[in-house]
Amino acid sequence: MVPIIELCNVTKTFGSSQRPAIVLDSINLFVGEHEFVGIVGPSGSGKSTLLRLMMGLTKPTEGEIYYRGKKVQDVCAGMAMVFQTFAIFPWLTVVENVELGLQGKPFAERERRERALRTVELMGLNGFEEAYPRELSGGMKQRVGLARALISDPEVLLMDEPFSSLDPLTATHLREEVLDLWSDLSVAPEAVVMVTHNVEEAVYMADRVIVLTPRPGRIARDVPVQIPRPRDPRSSDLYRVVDEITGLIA
Amino acid sequence: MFLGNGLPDAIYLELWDIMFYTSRSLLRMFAAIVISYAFGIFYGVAAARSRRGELILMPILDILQSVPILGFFPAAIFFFAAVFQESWIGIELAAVFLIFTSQAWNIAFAVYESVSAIPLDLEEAASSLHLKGLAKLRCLILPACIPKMVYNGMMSWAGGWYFLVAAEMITLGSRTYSLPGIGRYLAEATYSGNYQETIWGLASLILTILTIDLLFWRPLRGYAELFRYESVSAEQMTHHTLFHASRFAWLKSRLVPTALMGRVAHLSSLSTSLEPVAGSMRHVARKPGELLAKHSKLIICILTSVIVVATLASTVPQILRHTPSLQALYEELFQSQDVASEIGLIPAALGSSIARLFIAYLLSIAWTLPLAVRIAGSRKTFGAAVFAMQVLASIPATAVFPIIILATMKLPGGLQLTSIILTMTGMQWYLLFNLLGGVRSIPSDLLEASQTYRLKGFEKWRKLVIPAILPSFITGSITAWGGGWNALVVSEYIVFGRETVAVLGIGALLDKAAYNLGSVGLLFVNIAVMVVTIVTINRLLWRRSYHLVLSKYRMDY
Repeated sequence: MVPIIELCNVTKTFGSSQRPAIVLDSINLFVGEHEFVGIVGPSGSGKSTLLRLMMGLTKPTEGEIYYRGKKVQDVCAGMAMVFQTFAIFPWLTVVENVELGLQGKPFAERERRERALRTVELMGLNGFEEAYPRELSGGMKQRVGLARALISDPEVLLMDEPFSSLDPLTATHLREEVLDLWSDLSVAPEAVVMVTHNVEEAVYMADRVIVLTPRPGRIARDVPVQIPRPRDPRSSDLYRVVDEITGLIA
Repeated sequence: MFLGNGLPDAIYLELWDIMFYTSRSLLRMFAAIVISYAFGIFYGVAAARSRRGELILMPILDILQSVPILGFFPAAIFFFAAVFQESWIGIELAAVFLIFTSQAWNIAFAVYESVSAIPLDLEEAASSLHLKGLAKLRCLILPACIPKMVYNGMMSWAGGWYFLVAAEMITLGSRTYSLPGIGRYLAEATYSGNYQETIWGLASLILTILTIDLLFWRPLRGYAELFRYESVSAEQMTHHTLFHASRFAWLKSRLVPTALMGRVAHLSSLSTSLEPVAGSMRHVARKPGELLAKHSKLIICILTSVIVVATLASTVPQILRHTPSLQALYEELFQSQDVASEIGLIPAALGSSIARLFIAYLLSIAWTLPLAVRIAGSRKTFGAAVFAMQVLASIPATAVFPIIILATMKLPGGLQLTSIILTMTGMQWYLLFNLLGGVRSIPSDLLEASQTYRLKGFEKWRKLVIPAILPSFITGSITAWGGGWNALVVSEYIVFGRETVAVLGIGALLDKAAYNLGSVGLLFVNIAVMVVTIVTINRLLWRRSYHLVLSKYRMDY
């Protein structure tokens, strides 16, 4: 498989050089084409930091990160990110927020708006185009976050705990929609990397689950999930994998 | 005299004198800030905790805040000189009182705002743990106030230094009460043209201010950080817990949660097995405390009224003897030629003062906004740059006024320009620090989002920076105008050497009324005009724009 993202010996520390706190320690990892990778681990294992390193939001202390064979130096143009806290701009309307995803792309004003409206509709937000974020429910806000990420047709979609600020019912709903998008090859990104602390969620959605250890974060296991899609979230096959991973973490 | 070698020992003597003066001023400042904190906590909590209190106390605070320091001169003199029979302690207390008037309101506002902003879930948690009265004050209300109290306290502290010169030389017409202090020393040295002594005095003052910042405010700032309750992203959180673990431990063992943890343990362990016994024991043990808590309002009311009545009873006769009668005030206002012509000047003076403030405001924005964005943008130099700015801001500009005047008087704008620059010294720092706070508090997830979506340059300003800092910009503008109004009394009328330099303005009229004519009546008329103007502008312009901005550019979503 051709790797889209590759991490070689990546170490990330925070704090002073005298007393560094090692957050991630010698991470080797690749994300292949058309692969949905889940990253799980207890809190403090550096999951979110790992995602931000891929995006190019922070730089590794040691080691290299490659995107399509090129070293990641700055924020990656081919990737888009969905945030746990949604990170949508409170003073912009839904459609303006979605349009932000096209920033730096050579589209005319009209084209921009048309694409934004199309994506808004794709995410089931029609009727809320001119609404402000504080008028929306949590689930709606994350739909805006997803729309903003997907509008630019990114090669890689990075999701940082995308469902953990939502109520369980909304989360279940949105998970299904993301999986629908994933199965639709015409709109799906080449790869998805999702950070979560919910093992069931990771196993249900991902092709491969990477388990991190806490403090410092190291890769404990790389677990392939070979259950055919569409999956049954309650199947015993799925729970065998969940139990295996939970055993690693606990 | 006995040294004989001709070398003057004056420098040594002066150095010693300067140290003495500085420490006297410092004592005064500390006394004032302690009283300001006590007042601010009491007043702010009272205003935030009861609807009726809020309706009465907040407008009063608004008015008190807009009265310039000179407005408190007569009160200070009459009260303290009359009560303490013109003894040094009376004058000393008068000076402390005047410094207090430049510090207290700001702290009261900080407390009021923090208490009003306590999140509902914390309130509910406190209630569910049966926290009441003093325990609630200690575990919830005071900790919630600490961050703002520290930051506004620093502003107040700087404000105190700014008006120190005025507070140490209280003049009303022919009567002057002055005190040994660095403010008066600086004023006398520069106004008599002894610039070498001015420089020594300034050096000593700046050194003192820096030392106090290092030993007092800096640790307090670090401490205050622990009391923020805004939600933080996962990355920052690990950062925080990793590096401040020891401090948190200290905090846990000392302050906030002790009572909370005690109660939690108490409830969980006792309630199951020993509930009946413990229940009755608690009942007995809590009786007096409960009584106190239940009737705390009543007790506070009784205590306050006893204190107020006692003070009034012991001082009113004294004050009355020294207060000019209404008849005398009337005669002074309408019979005196001088005073009548001064009153005629008020409208024009007010207009030119507003114009002056507006220009000073625009000039302040012109340099603080780009600087704030630039400083906050670079993480590496942020700390150093802010420290440099704090040092600059902490130098009381009033002390270097003579230098500013000498430097600017010959410029094309002449006196008007000088006066505008002097007014700026009372406005610009409020804008700068509020803007810095605003830029810094842009949530990290929004910054990351704009990075991932490649917002740059003009677009970044339009979509992220400007909207995000608008609330702090408005707050900064409000405080800057407040500072500007107060600064007018020192920037429109300056006694310089043997000359008096003055421009047309409401501040200059106030100064003339106090220093020159000694007319209490005129002073009151001027202050009333000023207060009405300030409160009107606040209500009509600032408050509205604040609510407008908050309704759209609030950070919660």
